[in-house]
Amino acid sequence: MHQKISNMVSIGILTIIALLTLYPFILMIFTAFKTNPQFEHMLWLPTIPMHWENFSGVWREISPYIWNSIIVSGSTVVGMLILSSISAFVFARYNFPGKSFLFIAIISLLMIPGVLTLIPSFMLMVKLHLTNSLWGMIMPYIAGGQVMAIFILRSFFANIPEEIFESARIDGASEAKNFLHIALPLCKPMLGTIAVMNILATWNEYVWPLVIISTNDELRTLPLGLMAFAGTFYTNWGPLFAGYTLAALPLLIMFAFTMKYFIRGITSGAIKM
Amino acid sequence: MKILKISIILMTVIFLVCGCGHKSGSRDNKIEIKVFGLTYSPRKPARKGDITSTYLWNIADEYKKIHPEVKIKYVKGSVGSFEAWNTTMQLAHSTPDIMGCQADKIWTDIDKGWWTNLDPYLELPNKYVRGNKHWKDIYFKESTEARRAPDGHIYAVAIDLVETGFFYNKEIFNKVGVKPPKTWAEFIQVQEKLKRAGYIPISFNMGANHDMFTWAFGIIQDQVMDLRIKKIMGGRKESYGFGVSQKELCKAIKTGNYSAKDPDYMEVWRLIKDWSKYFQRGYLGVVDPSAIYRLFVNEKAAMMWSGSWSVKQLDNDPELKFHYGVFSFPGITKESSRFAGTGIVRGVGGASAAGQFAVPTTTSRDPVKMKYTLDYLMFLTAPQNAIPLVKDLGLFIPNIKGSYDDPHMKPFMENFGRHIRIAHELPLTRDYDEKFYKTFQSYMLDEITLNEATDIMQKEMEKAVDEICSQKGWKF
Repeated sequence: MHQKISNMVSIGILTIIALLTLYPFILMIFTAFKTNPQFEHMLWLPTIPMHWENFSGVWREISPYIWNSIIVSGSTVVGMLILSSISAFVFARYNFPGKSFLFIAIISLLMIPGVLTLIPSFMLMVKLHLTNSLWGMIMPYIAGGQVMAIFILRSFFANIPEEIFESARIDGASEAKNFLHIALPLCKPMLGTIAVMNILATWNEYVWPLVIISTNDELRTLPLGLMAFAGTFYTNWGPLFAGYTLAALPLLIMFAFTMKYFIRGITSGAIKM
Repeated sequence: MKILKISIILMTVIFLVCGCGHKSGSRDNKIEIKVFGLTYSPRKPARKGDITSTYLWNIADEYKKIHPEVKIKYVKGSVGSFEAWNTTMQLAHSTPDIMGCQADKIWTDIDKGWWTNLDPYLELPNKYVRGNKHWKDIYFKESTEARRAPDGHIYAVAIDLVETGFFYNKEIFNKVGVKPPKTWAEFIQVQEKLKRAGYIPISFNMGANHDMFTWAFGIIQDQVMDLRIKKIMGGRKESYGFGVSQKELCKAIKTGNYSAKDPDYMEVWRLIKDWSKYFQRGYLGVVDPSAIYRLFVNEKAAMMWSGSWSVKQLDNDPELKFHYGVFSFPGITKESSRFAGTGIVRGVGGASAAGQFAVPTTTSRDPVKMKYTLDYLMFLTAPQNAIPLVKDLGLFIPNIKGSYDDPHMKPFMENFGRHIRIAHELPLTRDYDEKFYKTFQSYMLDEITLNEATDIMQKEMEKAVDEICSQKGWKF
């Protein structure tokens, strides 16, 4: 009996915690169906009638930008994973002059807040004539995303026993094969975790796309498109939250497919510092 | 691994195909004028009742009929993160030819030479207005003059005006038996009665966005420090600029004519603190400014201090269960303060709303571009275009002379031309402004006394003035 009560209390507490955790997401969905007056009069609970037209209205506004966001986040994650995994493999498995210095130089970039490099990075993009193009987002994202990825992957590659690579070499495997067929498959969970983290960051990025795509509206990404509904004097809450909901869908789908890698990556120490 | 390989190949193809090939700019031979319309940026409503305007598209269509050689492109831009957007565009020379922005936000960039002084152009005739000799004559003079930058020039023309007022719940007022007050003493009495009746007398925001606090400080200071402000301005015309210029303020502080230890200055602090008894609990920690609005529409607060932009929202609200009225800021009389001045109550607002347009120097340096940009700006600001534009959005009042009538906006119209000569509206430095706000919060929370607070502010004032004087080479 005592055990039963104790279980019920635990379940009750956990349910409350789970609800509190999920409530911002639920609130987003509630608000997505509201008009502004409904939002102002009933902030926390759902209201009737539900305004589905918020979704069609917002879809008309943001649908051109979803493809841009997919291209930017997709290209970034592929480019970043290729470059960082190669770099991390080299840092982990090879010795060359200046290796430690180079590695410390790279990871020291983790200490520089992005906002400090906004103007210099932007000026670099101007000089490279990459403003108002998707390249202007993809290239810096790949460069910026690599730092953390190299740091994580290098530790993982360094922990793979040398004997595995040695046996492969004896069997005639080249260094490229060692990397592609041994190292990479072993670190799939790590790659999955890094990919998810990177996509989350680039998908939600607001300031960099704003400054890079300053005047070419066709190339805007989702977060910029959504801002059309928020203003200094008036915000259209329903369409704005409908937009947030639509913008979250691709991420939810991605999580559904990559969750097992993500969890495995986390539990095997991918993002432990 | 197969999936990874396929996705790498796929993404590489997409990357190459889609990543390149986009280039901004017009592909035909037309002259392209890029316009950022700020709050007037045209957008189709997401649903019925959505407050937005598409009228700028009509104006562009009309213009293209007269000038088929010109292409008007409205860019979507950003209302948030304006500084980052503006700075980077200026560095890349890609600022829209007509830039919608709050004039005071670009004043800090004047020394950088980013914005065109529009004064010479305002002297030219606007050919789209019959009989017009000077473009400047189509605007209301007082409000337009008040938007001169600290260097005395106009860098943005304003097509609209904004004004604030106290929105009150008529049903609650009737129930409690109070009427809209005319004086500050009456205002306090009304709030006392509302409080006793169990209502929050007024919803107030001194949290995340402290605009409302700045309004309160400015409008009370304007009345209580009337004589001092007149002295600081040396008898010059009040309507010029924001009243007290930064240089005048620095001189007054340096020569001891304006100090945080002045009894009238301290009186402003005291009056605001006394008033705060009637604000809702947690007014210092408001994170979401729209929470103020919610307290009012849900009949928890009997009043809110808002502006003309709230009218359409309230009128479009089918769930609003009460009638509302609007009254202006009550005058402070001798009954409330021995420092009360002339009894003239100025307003908070002016030509500082959402329809202000500047031209970057990147555009004015190109004579052909400038010719068309200026022409389109004149067309856009002509009464037959600007007034319907402002009316279509429905949040503000036109700053353009011409036929305009909107009964909803009447309560806001009485203060135009009498705007506050606030010294505080021109912060000495950004650091000073921050310190000012934090010190005021500590005073409101009873963490420090009025004497301690003003001691801190006096030191900060002197520090800020020394910094400005050394930067600008002023000696008094």
